[in-house]
Amino acid sequence: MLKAFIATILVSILSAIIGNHTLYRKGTFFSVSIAHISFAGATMALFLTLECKINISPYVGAIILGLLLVLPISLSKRSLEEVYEIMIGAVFAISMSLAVLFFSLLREYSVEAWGLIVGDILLLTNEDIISLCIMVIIAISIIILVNRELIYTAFDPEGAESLGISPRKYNVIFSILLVLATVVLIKTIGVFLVYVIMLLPPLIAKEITHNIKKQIILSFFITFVSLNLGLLFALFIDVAPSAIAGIILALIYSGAYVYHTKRTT
Amino acid sequence: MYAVEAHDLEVKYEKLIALENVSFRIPHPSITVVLGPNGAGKTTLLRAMLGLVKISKGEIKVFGKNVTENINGIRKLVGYVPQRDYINDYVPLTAFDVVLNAYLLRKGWLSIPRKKYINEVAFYLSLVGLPKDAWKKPFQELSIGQQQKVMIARALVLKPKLLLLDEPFSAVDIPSQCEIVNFLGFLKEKYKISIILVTHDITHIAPIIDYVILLNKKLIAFGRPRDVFTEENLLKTYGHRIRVISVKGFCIPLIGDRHA
Repeated sequence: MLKAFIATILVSILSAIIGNHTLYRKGTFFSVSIAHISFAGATMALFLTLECKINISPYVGAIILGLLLVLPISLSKRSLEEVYEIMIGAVFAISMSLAVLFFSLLREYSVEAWGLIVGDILLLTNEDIISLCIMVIIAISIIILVNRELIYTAFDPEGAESLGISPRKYNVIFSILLVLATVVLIKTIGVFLVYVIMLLPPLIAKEITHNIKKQIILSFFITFVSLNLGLLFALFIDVAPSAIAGIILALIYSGAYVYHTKRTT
Repeated sequence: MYAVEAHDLEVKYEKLIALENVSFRIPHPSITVVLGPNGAGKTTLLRAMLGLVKISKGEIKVFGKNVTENINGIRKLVGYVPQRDYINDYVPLTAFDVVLNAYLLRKGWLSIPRKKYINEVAFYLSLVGLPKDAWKKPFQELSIGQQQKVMIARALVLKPKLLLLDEPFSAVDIPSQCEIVNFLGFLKEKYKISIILVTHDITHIAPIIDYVILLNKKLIAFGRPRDVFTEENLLKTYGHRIRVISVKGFCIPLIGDRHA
């Protein structure tokens, strides 16, 4: 239980930092696509390990396929909007097809494959917590070092370029960060809910405040509270804590949306 | 001294020619308007001045420096106000932060906002006439006219000698257009800044224009408004006969064109 509690803190930090930056870059569906690409990579690695006896960790598989599909698109000269259109259309379709293909090729029932789909914060190992810690340190370090550049290339890519700051370079940096964070979060939350936890808290914060610092702090607390409420539910009912957290977040978002609409009309 | 010199400039996007046979010399300080239909290469011309596009033939110089060879030097001389369409409303920056962040990015990696920088940002926001109560408002909550003022302040805080504006009057109400026009005239007179702007409607800016560039993939005409605004040149540029009227000594073509 202590590990699960520590994990909620670490996941909340990732959601606050990376989730908000994903939103600033209008990458809501980009994040969804990356989750599915990672899943395809993980099932491919499981297939190679279980059926072909080539040992590859599902997480390494997820990172490799994630970077292979995401980097060429992030490096292209296209605008962010175009990049995300491609991600949602072509790459999403390819990755889901690959995931289903490798999943169906697994001849035996695989607990690991099922674990990737739903995740389980209550079954995290020490290694999982260490992976989350490392990811949080990487994310915080990158954001401290290039926060201004990331924000400005998202706000005004043309203006940033005229200052000598390459939007493409920061698209790539952010895409790598997003792939790594997604892969680490899959074990905790599961493929289907990773983007819910990453994106709903920043979306709720966006409805409440227009201040970057306040949005990040608010996102952290929203994720932290919803995940811990999920854990609390899981103590009494045998359900995935992340699913309860997702439902709580959706309810909070509805409330925040109504609040924002009433405030602005 | 010339702010910008283009000699037989050609720019291609892969095989598509965006600009060709473009040659002109814009004296400094002056206000120049770039006119032409959609897709005429107006924005490409500004991007060539900024070194943001690859020049396939000819050359372009800013204050005597070849843009391709001196890109870092050019960036210190040129301020840029891009089209409003390029701005991402999802990033919740305040008006003040938009200007301050650009200034800090120019100062270098990991620059810290010192009091001197903050004072300079405040100075330029006051100079463009943005009310103080709007400084801490999110950029996207400002009117389009106020947003353009912020973007001009952002360009000015970098202390450019040449200011490039792409469609600065697009979706801006008439009172704000007039304020911006007066301010641009003031910048040229007081700070000796050369200004080149792309626009579709020159009604309000006509009195302060020094030079006009008429473009349609190639240079149709360059010179003083009264020499450039002829029905023949406008026919070549827009493909339609356009009347030119003279108001208080200023030539105004009745273009009525809009940005697509």
